[in-house]
Amino acid sequence: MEWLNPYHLQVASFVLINAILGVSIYVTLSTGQLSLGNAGFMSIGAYTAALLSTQHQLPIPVGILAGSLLAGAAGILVGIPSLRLSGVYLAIATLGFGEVLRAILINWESLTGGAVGIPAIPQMGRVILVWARDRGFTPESLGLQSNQFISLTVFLILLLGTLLTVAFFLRLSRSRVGRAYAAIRLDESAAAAAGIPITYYKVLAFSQGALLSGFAGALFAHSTSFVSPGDFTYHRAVEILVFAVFGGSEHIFGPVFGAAFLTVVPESLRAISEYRYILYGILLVLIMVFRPQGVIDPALLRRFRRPGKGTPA
Amino acid sequence: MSGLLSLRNIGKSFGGLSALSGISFDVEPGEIVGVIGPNGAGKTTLFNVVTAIYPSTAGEVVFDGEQIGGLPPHTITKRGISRTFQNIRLFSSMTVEENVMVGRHCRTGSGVWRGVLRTRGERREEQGIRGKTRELLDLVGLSGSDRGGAAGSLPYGHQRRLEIARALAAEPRLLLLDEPVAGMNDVETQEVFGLIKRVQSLGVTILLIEHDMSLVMKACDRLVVFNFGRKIAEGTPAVIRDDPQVIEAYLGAAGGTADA
Amino acid sequence: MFLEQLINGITLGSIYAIVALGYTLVFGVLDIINMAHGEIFMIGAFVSMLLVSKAGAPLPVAFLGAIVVTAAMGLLLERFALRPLRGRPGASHLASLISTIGVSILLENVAHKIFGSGNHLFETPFAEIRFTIGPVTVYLVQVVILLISLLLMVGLSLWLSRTRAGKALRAAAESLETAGLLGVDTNRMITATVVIASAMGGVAGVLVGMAFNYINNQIGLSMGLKGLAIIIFGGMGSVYGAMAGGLILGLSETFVVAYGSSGYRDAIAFVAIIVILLIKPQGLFGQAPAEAKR
Repeated sequence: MEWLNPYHLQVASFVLINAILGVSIYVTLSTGQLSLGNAGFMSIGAYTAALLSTQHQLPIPVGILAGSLLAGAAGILVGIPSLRLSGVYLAIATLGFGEVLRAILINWESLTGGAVGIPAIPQMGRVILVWARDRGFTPESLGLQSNQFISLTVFLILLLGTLLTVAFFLRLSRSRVGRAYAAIRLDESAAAAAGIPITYYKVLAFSQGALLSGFAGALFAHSTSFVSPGDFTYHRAVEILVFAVFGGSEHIFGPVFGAAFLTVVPESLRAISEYRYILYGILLVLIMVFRPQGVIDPALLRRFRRPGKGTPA
Repeated sequence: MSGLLSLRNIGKSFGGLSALSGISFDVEPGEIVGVIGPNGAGKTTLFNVVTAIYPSTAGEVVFDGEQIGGLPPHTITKRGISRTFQNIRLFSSMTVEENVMVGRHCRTGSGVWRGVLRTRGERREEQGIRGKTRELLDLVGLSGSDRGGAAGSLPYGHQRRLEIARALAAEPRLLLLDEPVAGMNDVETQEVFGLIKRVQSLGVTILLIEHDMSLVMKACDRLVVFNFGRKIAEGTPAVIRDDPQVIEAYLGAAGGTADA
Repeated sequence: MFLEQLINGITLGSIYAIVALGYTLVFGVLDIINMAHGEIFMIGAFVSMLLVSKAGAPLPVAFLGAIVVTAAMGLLLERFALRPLRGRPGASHLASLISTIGVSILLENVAHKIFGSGNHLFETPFAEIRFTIGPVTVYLVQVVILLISLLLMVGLSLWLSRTRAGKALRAAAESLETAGLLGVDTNRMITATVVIASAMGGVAGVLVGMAFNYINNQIGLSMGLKGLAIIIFGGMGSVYGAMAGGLILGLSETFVVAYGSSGYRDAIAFVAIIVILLIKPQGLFGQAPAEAKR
């Protein structure tokens, strides 16, 4: 299988991690809240997973679980004080939180390795390859070279993670909790008057987003094998924002599309890649002015489902 | 003594401005009490205080024997007070049905996991929610063909009825209606009158703000009259109609009959 | 030594105060946070740096250049990234926030493309001149910064309280709708507010260049974040809050660096946010939230 190009698989893997990150900011946006700290929560997941596997030799799944849960808990801690007030406070507070976290990551060298970061994190694909080899399996038996096998394995694991994430939140959006989220987003006061506990659901959505970011971070650590504070800057937080805002902030397929499109296009058009962030900035303004709901919105999806019938309202 | 709702010396100021002062009256179970008065008299402010959109600056709100002053809005709804809004606050991009389903929130309990895993209990609960929603939409007279459409695309009169259905979904014991027939013609107003009476017959107590005097006189058991944030009269419609203070309040504020 | 640190702190604090005032003005009138404010400040710094260090122009010209360019940026920002979003129903607060984030990213990276990521020298002509009063050494630069900041703050306060335009702005800050009904041209008021706030950011940019002798394209981000921290701490929309908050932050940072660990200097601002959100969420001089905009 020579067509299985590890480079393509790597890009696809980044698409998947970015998709999870996009969904993480989408979840909080679905209650009308903007979190700019998801790079920070991502770093919590990444560093937790990295430290647990390198310093304490714990198995990869443990690190991923712990990283996600820790990030979610941090989400609760950050969310509760900030959510008592308007959404702007949350955006700024989360932004600040991300920066504080990064300052800690850089300065607490004994724990985090400082600006240099943590190298040699067990890579998911390689660990599985070794495990398989120990049982007598060789990638050649599938017609694959080692590096193809490794990239493919990582891709499949990430694919599973992404599919589970999307399925989970798609189901959630159609349930009682999903209706509560949507009501809060549309009109907080009316939602409260209708009997929905606003703060509870806002904190819930926020910590879910934080948990997802942590999950993506842990996966990131075990895919790239190396984390440093430079992976979790404000630029990362903005990038995540653009995935959801550009891709579509009213349906879960939006951030997935946004992540895919904005990860693949700069890879294929090298010339654009240099001006990536400039384009992000322009995109954000253009989307807000001309199509605030993003590219993928419920109306567009309805048109795909029943091409003949008109769209209701 | 005290009825279902007891307002005791309620005052509300915004900065230096006094919007309500010394408001005291009771609402007995099963009654329809009308709150009337010129624009700006503080009627909606009173509703906002009762439903905890903001706290009162003086006095107590007692519901079913308990002080509800410091509670958050959703808890007050759960206790049994629902409301509609003067300027209609529907979830416009949600469907008609979804709006009412949202109203069921505080009477149901499926959380994240039950919702995602679609457990048997959750599916039963959802069926129950849909059933109750259909009932309520029938009650307020919103036909089947409207129900899948976006709430914001309904004609005005239907939107007001939808808001009432949403408020009823929470199974309130006390329903606060803020100008439910504003902007409606005589036919629609008559329909809403019928609806209000049907709701009363289901055992719901109603507190009603309205300017439409014909509706108010027909529907209400008692009236409370506001002017400049104070209660100036209270009594049956017949008594209120002839009260000189009330007449003066309305004439003083440029004429009293139905104006939106 | 302590006194000199005090002067450092006040100097830094007054620059912070001016940046914070820019945020607070816009928030007061438009009810939004202009996330591009920090980058506009950065542009002011770069414009003045180019004029002073590359073109050898005198300092007043640098100020003028910075003010003109940043005011123009404010104008463009308002016209293209903010105005189209007004009057639209829906989650408008988030929309302006996101739109201005877009502008900030754009500006930051354009500056990166043009100027690179390194430090650029900012040579204030009289940088070496200092006075010694007893045990204390004060630099002329610090005095100038303090004077200009003071002038700006006092000028703004007077303008807001005494002039017709200033009062109109305060009225617009209280309630845009009412002000409009009373005859204030709200569009012009909004544009003026953004322009003034941006120009103040530009002035602050020059002052930062003077204070630190070098600038880079990251100062927009860090100053922007600190400005936000200050207005949350001092109370969004409160002029006194911005001034007090700026001063407090400047002093805190200076003393933490002087007597503690310099690595965490930038984190102080955010610790302040966390503390104030827990104790008095509306900020030192802010008004109680629930009643504010009903």
